[in-house]
Amino acid sequence: MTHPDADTLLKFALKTLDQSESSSVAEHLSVCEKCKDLQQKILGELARLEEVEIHIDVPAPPGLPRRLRLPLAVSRWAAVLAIGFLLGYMTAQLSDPVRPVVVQQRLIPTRAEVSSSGFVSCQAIDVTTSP
Amino acid sequence: MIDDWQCLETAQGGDEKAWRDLFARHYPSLVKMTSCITGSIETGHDLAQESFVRLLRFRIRHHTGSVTSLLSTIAYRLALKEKHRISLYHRPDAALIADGSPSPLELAIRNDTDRIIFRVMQSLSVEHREILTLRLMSGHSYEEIARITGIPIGTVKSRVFYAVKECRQMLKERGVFK
Repeated sequence: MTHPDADTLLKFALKTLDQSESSSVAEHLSVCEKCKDLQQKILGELARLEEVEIHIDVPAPPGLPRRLRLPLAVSRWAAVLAIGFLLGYMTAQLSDPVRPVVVQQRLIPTRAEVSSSGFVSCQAIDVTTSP
Repeated sequence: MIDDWQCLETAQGGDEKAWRDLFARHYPSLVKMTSCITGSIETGHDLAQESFVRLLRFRIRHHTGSVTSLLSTIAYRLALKEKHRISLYHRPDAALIADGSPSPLELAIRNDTDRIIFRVMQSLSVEHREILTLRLMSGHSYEEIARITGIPIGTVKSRVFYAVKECRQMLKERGVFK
């Protein structure tokens, strides 16, 4: 009977052996009391390592941020609506460009300003403006 | 008891009670982990608190893994960053440990044998100490440790084996193990 060495027994206890090696060791342990006792000793030592207790005072948890107190669903819908409104406004601006303003003017001659050569001085009045 | 993921979702929705429950469940082991990695219990507390704050902001897409594993991943990365930052400015408290005076972290260990075991673990190489902390102190599986640290699972298992082997040897020399 080949007894597994100390390293193999430790790896078995740590569950780091591959499946075939592990099965082989398990089979041996089922029939060898000496190796089984060694295995129990290793397991006891591992358990002792895990039991190291560090005393930790648990403080109050950090407070929940204010924004998280709004249900997340509401925050998400608010964000969607805001983005939708902004996109709609920008689209409206782009599809309705500014048209040039047309100014019609009427020329009103004043008799007193007719020159000797027949040219008439006129006063220009803005009559209408339209987009 | 409500599932951790449900608890987290409820807390993210603004439920204070769910938040307190989640905190109470995971805070102590998280502080143990961050304290052991950084060597300082004060830093351990700060990093654990920061980890919870980041957990609150975490966008849950699917429930892969556990909340424990997620928290440990956040805390582990913060601990590594903090260790790097500390090493740039001053030496770690190895001096305190070397002259025999207990560090603040050791003072939080009330049992004498626990303190000896802890000192032995802290004397391991950085890689071994961190892996052993995640395995023995935080109870993570090898798969979880591989995900948290980004180290291949084969390397994780190998490091755990050598770390434990070395610990057992040192503890036999100190009369803790026979």
